[in-house]
Amino acid sequence: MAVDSTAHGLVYSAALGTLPTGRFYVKVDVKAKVDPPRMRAVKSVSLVFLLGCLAGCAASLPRPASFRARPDSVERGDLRGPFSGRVLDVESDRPVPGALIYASWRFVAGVGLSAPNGFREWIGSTDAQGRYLVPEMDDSPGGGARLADFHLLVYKRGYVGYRSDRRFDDLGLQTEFSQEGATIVLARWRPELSHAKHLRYVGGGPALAALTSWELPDAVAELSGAKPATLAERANAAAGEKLDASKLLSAADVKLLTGFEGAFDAGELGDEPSSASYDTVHLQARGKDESYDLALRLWRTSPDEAAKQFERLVGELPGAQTKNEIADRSLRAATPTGDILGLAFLDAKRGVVVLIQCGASQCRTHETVLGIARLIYTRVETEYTSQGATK
Amino acid sequence: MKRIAALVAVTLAAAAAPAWEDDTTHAGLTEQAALASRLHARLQAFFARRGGWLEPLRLAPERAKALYAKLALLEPSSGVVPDRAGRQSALSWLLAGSVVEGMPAAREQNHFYDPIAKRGLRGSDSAPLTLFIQTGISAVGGAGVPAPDWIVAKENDLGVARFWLELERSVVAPGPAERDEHLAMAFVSAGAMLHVLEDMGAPARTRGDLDEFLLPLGGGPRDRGSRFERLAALVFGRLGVPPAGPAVERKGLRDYFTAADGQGLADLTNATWYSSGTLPADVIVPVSARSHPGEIAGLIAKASRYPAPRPGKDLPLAGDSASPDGLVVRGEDGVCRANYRIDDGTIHFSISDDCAAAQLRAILPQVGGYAAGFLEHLFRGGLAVIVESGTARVSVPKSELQLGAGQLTFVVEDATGQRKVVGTGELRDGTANLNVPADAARVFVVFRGVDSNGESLIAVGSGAAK
Repeated sequence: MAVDSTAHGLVYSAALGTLPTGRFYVKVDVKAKVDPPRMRAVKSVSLVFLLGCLAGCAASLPRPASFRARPDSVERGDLRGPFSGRVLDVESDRPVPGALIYASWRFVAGVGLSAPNGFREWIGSTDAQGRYLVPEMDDSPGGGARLADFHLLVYKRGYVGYRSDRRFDDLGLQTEFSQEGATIVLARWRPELSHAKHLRYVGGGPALAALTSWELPDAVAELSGAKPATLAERANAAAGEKLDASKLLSAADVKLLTGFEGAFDAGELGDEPSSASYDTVHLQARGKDESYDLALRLWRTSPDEAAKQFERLVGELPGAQTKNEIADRSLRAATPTGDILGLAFLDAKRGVVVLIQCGASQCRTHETVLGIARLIYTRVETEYTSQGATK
Repeated sequence: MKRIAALVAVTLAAAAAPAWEDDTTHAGLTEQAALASRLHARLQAFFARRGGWLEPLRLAPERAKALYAKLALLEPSSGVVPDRAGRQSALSWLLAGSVVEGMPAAREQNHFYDPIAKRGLRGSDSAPLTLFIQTGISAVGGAGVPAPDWIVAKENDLGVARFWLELERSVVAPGPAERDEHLAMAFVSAGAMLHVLEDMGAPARTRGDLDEFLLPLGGGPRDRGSRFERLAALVFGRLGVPPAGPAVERKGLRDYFTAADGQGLADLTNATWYSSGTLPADVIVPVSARSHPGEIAGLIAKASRYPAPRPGKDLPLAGDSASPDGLVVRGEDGVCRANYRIDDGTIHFSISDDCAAAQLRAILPQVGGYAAGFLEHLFRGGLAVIVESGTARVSVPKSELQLGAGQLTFVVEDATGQRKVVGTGELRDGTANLNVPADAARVFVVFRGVDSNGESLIAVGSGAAK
């Protein structure tokens, strides 16, 4: 195959390496057709050969990988892995610890068709040295599924995400990725970059939706015609005024209070955009179901509005019962099945309302939720002044 | 023995070949079409969905088990899989629809249309004998409903009837959660129809070419499919699909597929591009050809299954034969249609990978333009609602498509987001009035009927009451 001299041609040729070599050529005879009786006869004879080779034919071979085995190698990588590498900051060349590493394998099934037929995923994060290690995938959905693709995604807030298949800037083919010993350089996020494009680039799914929710409001504005830089200026101007619920509770606090030994992915709930009067924290237990998650909502407004907000919670939360065991007022709530426990409190003079909702596998009793609420309340007292008072 | 043979045949027959790959090319085409359309602004203006394409919509897994069974087979980073609560953006639901239309593969049998023969997949084609012996693949595809008919077929659970139903309920249903679910399903249905239309941009789909789908793809002897479409997935993926061309405007839904003016996507694809299995057969160059250039063109026409495309009369019979891909047949737009080489006085046609990639760069934006237009067509109805002094005045803005016969449904929303239907009516001279209840925070109006071309539609409008 010819490699043309344009940049696109080179990219295209790299992609094509995964297809069998040779011309895209089918010898055609418009008149010649296999006549059905002869076809049937030969099919019967070949059945013996067919049955014999079925086991071999049916073996699921992974498709060739489009990445190299190592950075210094021309050997083709293996879609199954294992994968290893290091994530670095583009400016400082220092390791980026705590970046999300999301690995996924895509399967297709069928003979002569390529309908999606399952996936496998692995979620982890970089260590203090920015290193990651994704173990070899030795599982398969079964049912004749063939391994068709592998994708690695690296995400950390404040940086442009990284995909092993596509670059962010021009969405062209990623050619630097290798199976082992990869060096992944994360570019710092810049105000002029598009959140709408970045959300498309990162993709969706449970592991990523919460992490990227903070980008949604700006992405919506961009689709409505606003320019990213303008949005960034507006955001910078408002940054000093915005509430920051993450100051009140961290993943480490929860682990300490509940005894949970796993890891959390911290993000925002994304139900409403963060503002001067509202912010959220969403702690999603990595590799666990929702019953291990915790959500924190924080409102800060006038004392009257805060009281109304608390009343709304009393009316709306399932099974809400006023208890007044913390701050000025508090309530306990629980879903009918008891799988989510809730606790809200009102600090009227500070105009603060806090709602904590915790899965029952993480917070086994309301006492645990109360412990978390008490910790939060101590921080509310130091963080926020009474309305009208000066700190 | 017959039973064993039948079992083997059933096991190994390729039920149908896919067109563009579902979770790469289709998702990318649909995404580009959505971004090229004006739907983001329309969702904000007429449906009061502030987030537009990024409006979060929750469709609870327990409320759509069949859909979630398919979504469970998709890689989450594909951008079409909701979070654990069943929530993702309106755009992602649209993409999800364009992906699940190809699942299971049997649905793909309904994504063919040959505008010359005016038929879909017949299901009578056998695989070549050598391939059967090598791999056990005995056939490609069963009979299917022609693509333009499939989107309106009763048996299609993601067709136009489902779309209208869900779209209407997304406005008139009482609770916000319920409305979100209906809007999500409306987008899934719209995405599924886009998938069918996008397939009309694949030449083999419009030229009755099933041989194309039996080419080796690299994952072992039985990994067979369309090399052209695998190439699209490899070169562009989902994210790199080129931006859609300008949204194409057509009078009716079927016109986007095929029409008497030859401007349906299937019509254009059939007439513009070869597929690997419908290239001209080998042509022996007659001795007189050098003095009568038109003679070769006539012979090539005779060796072609379809009337177009045709190489020009001035097809060079000499050139850079040392090139691995041979000589190039180009269309009027300069894009490669096929390669050919002359060996022992015989012209052999092929499509090289470079030629196919050039074709894809021309085809995908065109497909995106048709898909964007189709999407705008589905959501083309808009109403203006202005509430003053307790009366809502409904009209059709001059900039919007004018409406024909149909019924209006008036819906009011209270401060808690609950809606109720408060009456029905008709447009008279393009307007209608409604007395707004005192507790209404917002008024919605739904028109269900036909447009001025007699095509079905649902038009929606809303206005703040306070």
